Amino acid sequence: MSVYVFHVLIMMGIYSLLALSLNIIVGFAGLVSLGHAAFFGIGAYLSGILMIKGLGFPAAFFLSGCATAVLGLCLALPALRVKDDYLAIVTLGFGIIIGLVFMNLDITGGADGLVGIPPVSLFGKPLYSKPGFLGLVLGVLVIMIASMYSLKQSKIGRAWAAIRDNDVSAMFMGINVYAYKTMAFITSSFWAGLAGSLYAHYTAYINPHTFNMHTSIMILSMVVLGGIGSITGSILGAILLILLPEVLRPLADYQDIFYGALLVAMMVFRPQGIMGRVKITEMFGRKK
Amino acid sequence: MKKLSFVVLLAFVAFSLAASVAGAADEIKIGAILRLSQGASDGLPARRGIEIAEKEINAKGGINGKKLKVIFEDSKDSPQNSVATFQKLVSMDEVKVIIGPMMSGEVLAVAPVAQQSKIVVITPNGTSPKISDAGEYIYRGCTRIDKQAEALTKYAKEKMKTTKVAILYSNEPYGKGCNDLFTKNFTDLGIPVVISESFMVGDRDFSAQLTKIKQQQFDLLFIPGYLQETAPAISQAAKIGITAPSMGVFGDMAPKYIELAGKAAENHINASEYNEDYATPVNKAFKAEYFKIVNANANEPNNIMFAAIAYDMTRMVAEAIAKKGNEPDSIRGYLDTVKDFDGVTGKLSFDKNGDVIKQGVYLFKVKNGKYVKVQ
Amino acid sequence: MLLQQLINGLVSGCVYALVALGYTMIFGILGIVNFAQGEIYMFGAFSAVVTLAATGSIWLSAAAGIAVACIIGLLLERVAFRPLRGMHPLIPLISAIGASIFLSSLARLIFGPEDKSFPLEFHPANYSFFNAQINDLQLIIIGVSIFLMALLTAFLNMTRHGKAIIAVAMDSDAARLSGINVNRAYELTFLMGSALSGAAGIMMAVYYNATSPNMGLLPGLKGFSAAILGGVGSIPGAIIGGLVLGIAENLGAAYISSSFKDAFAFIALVLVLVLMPRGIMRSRK
Repeated sequence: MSVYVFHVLIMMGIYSLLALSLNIIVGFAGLVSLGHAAFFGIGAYLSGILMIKGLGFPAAFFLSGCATAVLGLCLALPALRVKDDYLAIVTLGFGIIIGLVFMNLDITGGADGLVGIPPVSLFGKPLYSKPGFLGLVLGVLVIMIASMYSLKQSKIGRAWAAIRDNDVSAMFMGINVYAYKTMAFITSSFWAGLAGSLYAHYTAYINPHTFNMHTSIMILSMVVLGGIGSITGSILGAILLILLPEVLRPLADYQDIFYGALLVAMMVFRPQGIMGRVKITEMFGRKK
Repeated sequence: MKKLSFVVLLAFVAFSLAASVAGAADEIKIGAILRLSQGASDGLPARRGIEIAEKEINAKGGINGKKLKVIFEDSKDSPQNSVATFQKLVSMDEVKVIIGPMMSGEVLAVAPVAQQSKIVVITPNGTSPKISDAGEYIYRGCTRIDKQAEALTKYAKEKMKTTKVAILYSNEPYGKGCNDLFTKNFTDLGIPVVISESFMVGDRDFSAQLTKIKQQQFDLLFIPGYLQETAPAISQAAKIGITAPSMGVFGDMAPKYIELAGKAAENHINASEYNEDYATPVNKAFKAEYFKIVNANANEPNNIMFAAIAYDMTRMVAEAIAKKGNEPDSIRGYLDTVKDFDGVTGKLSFDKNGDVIKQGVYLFKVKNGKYVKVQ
Repeated sequence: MLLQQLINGLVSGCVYALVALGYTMIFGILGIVNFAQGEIYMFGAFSAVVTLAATGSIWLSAAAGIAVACIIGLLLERVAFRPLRGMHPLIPLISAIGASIFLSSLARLIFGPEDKSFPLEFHPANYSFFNAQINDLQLIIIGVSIFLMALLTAFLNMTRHGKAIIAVAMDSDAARLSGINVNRAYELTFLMGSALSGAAGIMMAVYYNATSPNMGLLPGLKGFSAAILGGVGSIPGAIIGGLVLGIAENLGAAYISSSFKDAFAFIALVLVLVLMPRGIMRSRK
């Protein structure tokens, strides 16, 4: 199969990881995060920088995941203290600030970006082949899906479900809401960091542009279009939103108009997303 | 729900099938990745330049009898998207050479993939020095920013007798690269940079930075960046009372700059890759064609410099294919050895890094609302 | 320099405040974030510029700009938001984002990708005092903004329709039971929010002498932040939020680093929210 198709598949895989990780915050815990690309970027830059400095891939991969999780914790601590409605804008602000940090530091290459990121090397051999890389991405994806299913059934997952439905009641039931919400952020950013690491080594070059608000919104759209809370949904959402620009290319000048209209149409005609249950749309009324 | 996911999968299968199908056999396809949506004010003129070349070449019988077809893709000002369009052009359209992308960030993103796939990439106007080292398949059709820097800073020292300079730069690869380079050049010439402030692409309000700059003493204000920002910047500078003359790089070389900056553009110095008065028959014909297009549509951006560079690159590629064959290594063979190609931007060749060599950088000054060549 | 930066901040602050008012009213009454507010601002500007180029009349262009902004706002409400009332807040958010992408691409197609200058040349007179300068244009912008804000406040507090809107914002069910036409209130809210954004857009088209399809993106974002900073749903909050944001940005750029200018708006926001979780005006109880 052609190189192009593999490229698109790899992108779908990486963005599935991202959509799934955001779904932990949005779908499982019921919070809003508009700055997810920041975690993607932190993972990518860290992994890239570490490998340029000579660290091997498995180490760089895990380290960047963990470091991103730590940064997720740093965001969660202050961010979760604001009222829920405002979490959105705080995470948005976080995304923008991190983007500016990428743009201005020397170690990240600044506006020029990070050039010459070494490719993934497993067992000493560099992985150049596209099918091989796709295999790696799918492997990580399978592990992530499995861990998400088990999270959902676990005590943590049930606590999140309780918080999502009504966090005041959850608190009265004895759940430490703040701690669990923080956990959601940490888990989510860990996986996003791993996705970033994969991305950096696949593309060999990253710059701040890729990790901007536009990307954050695209990831969020994948989650919503797929169905908030649905694991299969996030993957389908990622497939859809990566496929769409490629399919719309022949439309040339009209690409973006179509894309925008499609997003509106999907929300108006199928707000629960591809895999969502109708119940979710009735759950969150804006009652005053 | 099941239906929808089925539709998604179906679309995906259709897409992969389409992606594996080859194209027509009696055409020679080359690819172009340009700024056609965001940044279309630069990308559309480049597209016109390529289209003019395409038309000309096909009117003369094409490339060895086969029709030249350029496949245009939109970079959307995104490195990620540029790589996707690169993959699409190479895999689906099977091009061997691509003109574009136009921004250094995107060129650097596409470079590793181009090197791996062994496809020739010629950027018409990416200026980052890092492009020179991006690999032997990567070429550049405009002067590297350091030659522009040399020319402009020398002019400032010798003709303008500048003693101190203030810099307000665009914080992305282009502007930042200029800031670093010009600071070094100015300092080497004994002209200290008294202050250096930055702004983001998309900003229109520079009052904070300009107020800070105004506190300093300087006799030249250097503003590198894209004209959508540099023009309002110079206009606001004038409004708050900065009287020092201004200087920019080739992003300022378009009638739109003068329109947006108004009176503040007067006496502005900038570099350019192209001189309209270059008196060759090829240039005269090109100019006529380009202005015909611009005058036909009120919304058409007017930037003959970007059109000129793209026009030259297309013609060089076409000649490479005609003389040496439509394979990346043969195209490279031609580009690496061509001397004094009769381009509208000058007599062209490429150096060992794939950067274009011409006779030098043109410098222009704005006088009475028009560009006047001063060097 | 401090005074000058404060003045700079005041001018951008007024613009952010006008956009913030749109966000805060719509969020306050409908609970949704109209991410397309910046595009309404942009279409207001474009319509005014195009009308001015065609007719040469300032008043006609201002009217046209505001009219187009209002029409787009009403259409948005009908098509992209009304069907989604009562749902998970992320759903209208994505819809708004789609609308925003749609509108800016549409503008690019209709008006072309290039920045448009303002068809009239202005040579505003400069006034200096205490080491700072302010010109006619800046004074007009501040003046018009204050006038519009006052108009809005008067409308909301003194007219029947305005008070109806406040009632709906407080409790839509109770308002409906009292006989208030809730749909009409929503439409009116969108209308006013759009008018304000449109006016802001027109003023900025003049001030920066540049109108472009993407001009609404950053002001939209900052307007939204300003609304939150001031306390969402609070009119005085949006005004204070806008001014605080404008001034924080300029002072940050001046005294800390201009590379991070856009960040200061958000840093200010995060600081305020951490200290006053409901925003400035709503945390005072």
